[in-house]
Amino acid sequence: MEETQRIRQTLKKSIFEVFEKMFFVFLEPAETYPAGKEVLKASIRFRGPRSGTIDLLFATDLAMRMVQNLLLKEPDEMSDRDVEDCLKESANVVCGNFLRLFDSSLTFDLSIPGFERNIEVPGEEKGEQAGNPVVIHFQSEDGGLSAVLRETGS
Amino acid sequence: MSFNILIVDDSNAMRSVIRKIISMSGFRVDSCFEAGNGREALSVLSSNWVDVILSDINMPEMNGLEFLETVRSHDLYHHIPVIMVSTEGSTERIQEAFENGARGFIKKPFLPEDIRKVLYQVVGCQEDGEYGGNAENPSDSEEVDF
Repeated sequence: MEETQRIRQTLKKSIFEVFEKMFFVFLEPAETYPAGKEVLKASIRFRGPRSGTIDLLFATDLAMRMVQNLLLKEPDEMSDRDVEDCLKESANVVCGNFLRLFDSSLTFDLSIPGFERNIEVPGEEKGEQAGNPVVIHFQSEDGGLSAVLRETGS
Repeated sequence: MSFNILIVDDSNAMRSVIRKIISMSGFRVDSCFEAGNGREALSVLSSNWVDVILSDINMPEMNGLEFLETVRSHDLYHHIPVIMVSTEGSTERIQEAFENGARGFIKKPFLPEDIRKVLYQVVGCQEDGEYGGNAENPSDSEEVDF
């Protein structure tokens, strides 16, 4: 459980750091998955001494805010491609930052991030069980974010 | 003195961010080229003069380390300073990049001043635009951890 706690704390730190530094979004801990008209997902796989996936689930308004802050574009100037690109990059940076903070002496290969729209939010019963996956929820002024880290072995 | 810059990243958003940061930093840019991976970047190099390259590592088709190796071993491009801009920040990966000839390493997430600082250091240029350094001196190489 200590290991799970360390993974959880490191992932949380990585997400706070990336969202503040890159997207100027300030998150707070929350209890549930994002809600709203549509939930978007960016995913990335990592492979190395440990392997797994990180999924980030975003409320639409939060995604729009991230694009606005990163690319300095107003909502009517944003394309679907901008949203996809920003969310994929956020998964890439969160994952790289997490692995570096976890243990910078270990080297991992990261996949090219994936993206999905309109995903079904997992029920709470499919949430964290015995530390795998690790699920962390956040909220912001513009909606929720959840991170799901699932280890698949080395 | 102004510079031609090549930004290599598979994320259109990240290329756009880096381009904006450079243009707002006061760094004198003549042309700013973009490529989505190492292979596209080689194509840009084949028809344009480039003074400095900023490249991601994790890209499809040809990743940043393969691209760096190709640039370093190329008769015409080997002198061009390459700065890696990546999420991949393990000690081993950074060392590998420097051993393969990278002149700087910027870890994502970065702040605008991080890009500016490394860019000025790597091209051996003072912030007033005066050319004042030896860009080939390995001691100019910079790793920035933010």
